[in-house]
Amino acid sequence: MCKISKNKTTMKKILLLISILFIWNSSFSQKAPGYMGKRFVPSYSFGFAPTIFNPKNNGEKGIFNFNLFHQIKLDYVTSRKSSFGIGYETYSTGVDYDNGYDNYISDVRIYFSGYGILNVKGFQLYKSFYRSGIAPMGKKHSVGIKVLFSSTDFENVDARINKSNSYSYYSTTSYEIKKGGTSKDFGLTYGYSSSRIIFDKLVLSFGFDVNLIYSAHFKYLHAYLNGSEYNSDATLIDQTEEEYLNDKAKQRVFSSQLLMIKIGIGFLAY
Amino acid sequence: MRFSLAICFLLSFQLNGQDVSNFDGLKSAGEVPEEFNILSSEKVKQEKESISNNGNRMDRKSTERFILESHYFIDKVLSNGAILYNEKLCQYVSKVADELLKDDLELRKKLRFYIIKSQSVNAFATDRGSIFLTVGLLAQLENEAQLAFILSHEIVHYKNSHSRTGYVENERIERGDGKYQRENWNKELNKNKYSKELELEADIEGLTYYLKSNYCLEELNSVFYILQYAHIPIDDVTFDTNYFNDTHFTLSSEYFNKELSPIEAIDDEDDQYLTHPNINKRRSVVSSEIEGKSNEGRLKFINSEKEFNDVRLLARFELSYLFTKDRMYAESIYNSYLLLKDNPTNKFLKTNIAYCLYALAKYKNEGRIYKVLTDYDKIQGQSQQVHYLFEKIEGKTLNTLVVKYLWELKQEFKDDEFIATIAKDALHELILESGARKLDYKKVFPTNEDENVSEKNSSNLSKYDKIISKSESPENESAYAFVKLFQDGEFNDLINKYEKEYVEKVKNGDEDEEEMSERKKNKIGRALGIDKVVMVSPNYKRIDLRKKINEQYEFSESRKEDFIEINEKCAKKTDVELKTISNTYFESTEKYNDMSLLNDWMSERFDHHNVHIYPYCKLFTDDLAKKYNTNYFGWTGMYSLRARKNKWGLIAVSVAIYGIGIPMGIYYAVTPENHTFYYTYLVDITNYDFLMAKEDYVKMKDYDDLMKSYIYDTYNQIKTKRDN
Repeated sequence: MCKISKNKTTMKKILLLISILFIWNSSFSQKAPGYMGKRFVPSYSFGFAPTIFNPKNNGEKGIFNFNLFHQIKLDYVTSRKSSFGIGYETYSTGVDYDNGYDNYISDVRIYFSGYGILNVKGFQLYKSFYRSGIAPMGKKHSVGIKVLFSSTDFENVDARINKSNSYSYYSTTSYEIKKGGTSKDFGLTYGYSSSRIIFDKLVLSFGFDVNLIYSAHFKYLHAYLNGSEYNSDATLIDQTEEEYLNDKAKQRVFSSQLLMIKIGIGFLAY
Repeated sequence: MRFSLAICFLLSFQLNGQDVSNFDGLKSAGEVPEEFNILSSEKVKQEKESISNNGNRMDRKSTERFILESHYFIDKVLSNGAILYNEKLCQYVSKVADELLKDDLELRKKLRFYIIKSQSVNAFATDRGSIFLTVGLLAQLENEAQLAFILSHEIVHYKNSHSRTGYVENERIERGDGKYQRENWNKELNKNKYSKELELEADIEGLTYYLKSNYCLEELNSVFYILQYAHIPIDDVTFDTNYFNDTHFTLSSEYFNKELSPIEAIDDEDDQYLTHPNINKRRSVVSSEIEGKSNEGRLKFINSEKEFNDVRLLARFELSYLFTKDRMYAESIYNSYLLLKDNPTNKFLKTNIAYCLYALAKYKNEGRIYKVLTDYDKIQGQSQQVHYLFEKIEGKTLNTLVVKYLWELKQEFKDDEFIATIAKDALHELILESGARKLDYKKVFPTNEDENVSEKNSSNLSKYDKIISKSESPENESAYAFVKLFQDGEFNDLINKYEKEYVEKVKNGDEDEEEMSERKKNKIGRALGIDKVVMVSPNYKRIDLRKKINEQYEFSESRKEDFIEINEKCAKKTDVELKTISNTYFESTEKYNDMSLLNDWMSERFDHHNVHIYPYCKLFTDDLAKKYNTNYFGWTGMYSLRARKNKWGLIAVSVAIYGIGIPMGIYYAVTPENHTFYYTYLVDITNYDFLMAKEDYVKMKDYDDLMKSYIYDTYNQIKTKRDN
């Protein structure tokens, strides 16, 4: 009950923030030409990022393998040189656990021979500034905030637990993960893209996003500053299995969000 | 006898004054010549087909380039509105050409004569039969025979395709072909040498046409004086130093030069770096050609002398317009001063002088008089006096003179809105900018008693009082300037109003709100709330350095039509009523004349830059505001440049970056560098402020969407009403 009430408060805050930004931006609306008078652009973007450090959701990794992203955005032109937008994104990516979970205090080790699948859903709020061209056409810089909700599917992870038994020797058994692998993250987003309009209707865009996911980023920073408390993969030495999996999810969210190249298509609604 | 004298007087007044008493600038007349409305690309195509495939391949290429460049250049000259066709000057020139070519009708049919609205003294012929003469040249002629020789010379240039052969030869010189393989250490000298050969050929062959006609041989000598003294006004008459004075307003003698520079002929003896032979050489060549030929029965005028004088008078009146438009105010005042001698009541000339004074005062107050006044040291002859006066005259005195002259003219021409507007502005300028105060000006003339007392008192003055009194004389000379004007209620009200405005300004200091900068306006946009605009000469030009020049020209020509179409579409979408005066197709001569006037207005306005001054052309364009039922006129255009990228280092770095670098590097390598500049200047033609000076530069290709986006934005800003 308490959790539901907390979620409602968060939603109210987000709605309030959107309303304030919308009203503030609308103060310029009288002089905003848009494109031939059209200022509202719903769009879909397809993003991809190379899987250099982590696998994609089928476990493949390499130069020519890409994590794929899907974004739906609503942009509203607020002045000659700016627009305001909200977006929803979803993607799934692989999480690997190279070192495994190793808790010396509890004397438990979990090995992962497979990979987890991280499912991410996110919302963003941003403002775009058109460096050349008149909104919604031309080259633009976008800055905004992002909230991401992620959870891990452990179906392919193939975990095995290594635990000491009463006869002081270790046994390794198959292990089903029941908790962990979720993350709620907040971050800043920056994008640079170029938009063109064809047939006076369709908006095509190409560009890239750089996202700094604050909570995950903070973990890395903390690990860097307090090395003795962390394993080599920036997970805490004495954390629980659930915390370890959550941290792994967070790390993956951070790395998957860092850079993505986007191709988008939208239409001039009105 | 008395009756016949009266008739003669009336007739002469009518004949002399019929065209200049209501002079309001020269305008083209009749049908729009066919060549104005044929696309340059079509002309090029037609002419290229006629080129023979024989001969040197390089020369053929040069000829093709010449055809392309010359057609586009000539069409640009024709379409910018600076040309006069079918009006009296052209008709007269054509009549003289008819006389010269009465035995060669085939050649005559190929020629068309145009007048260029320029004060310079010049004439030139093109390869396609259009011959151009300037207004300045016609204004300087002394008789028809002189014009006949000039035309003969230009006809030969056309007949012998001199501009084409000159172009091809210049390219040969550049390449070092044939005889230029060895002696080509100074290409410019070789080019000039060849050009001089063509000029002499035109002089000598031109004589054949001239001699076949019945024009006077003596004028073949005097015609060269026109070239030698082209820098001197239409006459050299003493400028009356009392011209601006009256009983109670006298300009100090310090403002006038006692020794004027003598007139010297243009020195062109050393002509090695000139395209034309020196004038004395030309004169002697022509003299030797006509040696022994009889002048008997030959005439200075084959058409009537009166017709020549009428035409020349029109050209001279137009000269005043051109000088003023080009901000050569001292030259214009002197020109109008000379013309006023025979036309003392002419409103155009008086207004012209009034405007020039007004402009000089404005520039003096701004500290930029040097922009519009040639240094008097560089002027020769009597006109130097005018330059000297306006260089030396004190700002306050000049402003007083302007107000006095303009308000007196306003009283003379009560219904003239232009004079009224600049008279009020001049008074505003006097009080707010020149430092003069209302109290500096007396409301009554001094009585005889006062003068006697002052004379008596002056004998009792000390040495220092006399010195101070003398040093204050420039102020005193203006003290009684407005005595009569103070009796004018409007003048009184305005001077009081401006005085109050000045006091308020002093009280408030610089607290006035700073006007929003153009840059900021461009960023956030304007809200002008205008329903109807006229766009003049929409322009489009694409320069693609990767492509052949003919492709660039052709593309620009066709894309310009798209540009105009998009303007119309966007105006319609924003509900702005748009009228376009295109410079590609001219529906009528009336449209051409309108465009010409409007382009003059804009060109003058640009020259004034930051000086807040009503353009002189307003005098003629105010009627256009009524005619088009809007005060708002705009000039718009787009320029696009494409070139190969040269930052290959960046590509290397980009490719070196793993993954992302490769596609970005390839993209960078295969795409050209693009620059697009879009502008729209919108003005209230009855005023001087730019309502919109929109200049946008983007590093993008001029795609359709970019074009539409910027153009729509323009009309959106024009239409949008300001928030209250």
